[in-house]
Order: sequence, then structure tokens, then C-alpha cells
Amino acid sequence: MFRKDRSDEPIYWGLFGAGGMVVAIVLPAIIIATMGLNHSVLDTAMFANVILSPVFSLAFIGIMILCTWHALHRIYHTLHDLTIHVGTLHHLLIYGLALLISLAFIGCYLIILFKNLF
Amino acid sequence: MADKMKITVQRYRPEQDQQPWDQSFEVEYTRETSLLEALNQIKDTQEPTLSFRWSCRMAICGSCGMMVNGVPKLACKTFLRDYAGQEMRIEPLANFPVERDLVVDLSDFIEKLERIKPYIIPKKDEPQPGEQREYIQTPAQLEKYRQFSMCINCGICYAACPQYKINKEFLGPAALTLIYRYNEDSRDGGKEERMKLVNQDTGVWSCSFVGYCSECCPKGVDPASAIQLGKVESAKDYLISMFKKGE
Repeated sequence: MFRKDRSDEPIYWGLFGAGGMVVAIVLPAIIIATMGLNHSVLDTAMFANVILSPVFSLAFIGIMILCTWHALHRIYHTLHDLTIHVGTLHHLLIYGLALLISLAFIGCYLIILFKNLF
Repeated sequence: MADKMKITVQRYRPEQDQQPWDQSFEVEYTRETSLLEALNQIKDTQEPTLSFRWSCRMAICGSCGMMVNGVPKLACKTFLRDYAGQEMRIEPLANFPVERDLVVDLSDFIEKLERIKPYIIPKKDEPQPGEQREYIQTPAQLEKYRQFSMCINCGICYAACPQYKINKEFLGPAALTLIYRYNEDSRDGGKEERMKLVNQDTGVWSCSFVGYCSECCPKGVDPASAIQLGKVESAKDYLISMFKKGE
């Protein structure tokens, strides 16, 4: 959008596509796996420990970030159906929001990481 | 036994009419009557000034695209029997300027077709035009683009496309499909040139994958899938360009 000869859309479309896979496959798989947990073997506290471990939480944050970009990209392109024609302002607002949310998620991850370390 | 169908046609004669108006006709039809035949029947027996384009009568020439009850269709491939018990409303192909009655100005589409170079540009090591050598292509290589080569340039996908409706700069379904068709042809060497058009905002990236073009295409070409495949190609091209100097 800032270059005339080449669209920057591949970046957003790539994140949208990756997010789509996550929303369609990875998220339901996690939900089903969680539902199938045997509570006598793995109680809630242990489960929280696993989820909050550095590796798991990194994967989790990655999933949430991709979901965010997927959702906001969809909203960006749906604006047109709501008769709002997108311009640079909409682009900056929506993808700026996606970036902010992503940074917040990364912040959460760093907090978890430090809590685990110390 | 012939049934009767009420056909309402949107008329516009630029030298007489300030704006389009509707004219209704009653036509007799049988199981075999196509809309194109019905229109010719109207022209021959009821309203000789009615204008519409047609040529082959067999969904090859792509001339008779028009809106039938709001859906873009080829008149020769639309049969009155499928509308039994209803009325038919015929309008010129949407998203194009109307010249007269059902005749639209397709020059924007034709200009785009020319711009994408819809012909084989020989690779350097392949036979050049005029050379008496064979092009070798395997059935598998043919299968990569065969479906997309069925396009008859009728413009129906442009009438179906909500993105082309709001942005006439968009290259549009048929042009992008033909780009994919020639880029994937093993005999072609023009991909680099054509990717410049694909990569722009007005190329594949204007498509939001509504998919109505594929639903309406009278030849089963599936332009929406060609554009999605084009997006993958363009995304790859984008990544490669990031590592290339001077781009």
C-alpha cells in the first residue's frame, strides 16, 4: 500500500492464512484434547503448570497472535461489504491494532517466562 | 405444446432515451427454446429495433452475456424452460457502460486482456515464432492450466465480481485467470513480465475471494481458484524479492 509497483498484501495475507489454519485446525484440536484430559491423572494445578511452561506458553502466544491477525484482516476486508471503503487510515488503524495486541501477547509471554525463571 | 413466457427487457436507445426503460414481450417457447432464440423471435416478429450481441449460439463466442433476473448468463446457454412459471427480466451485463439496449461497452475488459499478454511468449531456449520445430508438452503439464484455458472472454465474471464493481482498476477475474493460464504453461517464458501486474494492489490482491465469478462462469473455468493460486505465486514472488538487490 505504500508502494505502487507491488502490494504489501502478501504479508497480511500470509498471516491471515496461517491464522486461518490455526483457527480451523489447531484451536479445535487443543479444545478437544483439553476436554479429553483425564482429571484424575492431571489435575487443574498440574495442567496450569504445563500450560504456563515456557515452551507451551510460547506456542500458545503464537496461536493467539495468528488468530488476532486472521480476525483483523477479515474485518479489514469486510469493511467494504459494510460500504466503508478502506484507505490508509483504516489500514493503519486495523493492522496497528493487530500489532499492539501481538505486542501485548509477547509482553504476557515475557512475564510468564520471568516468573518461571525466578 | 408451446408455453408462453413474459420477458421484460431493459431498453436504452441513446439517441432517443434520457434513461433506460422497460419493455415487456410475450413469447411462445418449447423445451428447446434458449433465451437467445426468444430474443431473436422478439426482434423478428415484435420489436425490430431491439439490439443485442450474439454470434455462435453455442457458448463458444462469448458475445451474448446479459443479466437474467439479476444473474449474469449467456443467453444461448439459458433456457426458458428453467424459468417456467416465472417471468424473465433481461438487462445488459452489469458493471459495464451500456451502449444500447443489451449491448455493453467491453473496452475496459478488452484493454485488460491486451495488457496481460494472453499468448505464449517463447522461452529463450524454446522454438521462436516462425521456427519449424515442435513444442513438447506432456499431458501432466497440459493439465496444470487446461481448465483455465476454457475461458471465452464473455465478461460474465466481471458482471459477477463485487470488487470490479467498486474498483474498475482491478484487473478482474478473466484477466487474472488467463495470466495464471499462460504463466503455468510449460512452453511460456513471460511469467516475470506478467507477475508485475499480478503483484500490484489492482492485481490478485484486490480479490476478496467472494467466489461468485466461479459460480457464474458458463464454461466452468473457476476464476476464483486461479486467483487464489495467483496469490500464492505472488506471495512467493514477494518473499523472493525481499532477498533480491535493487527491488
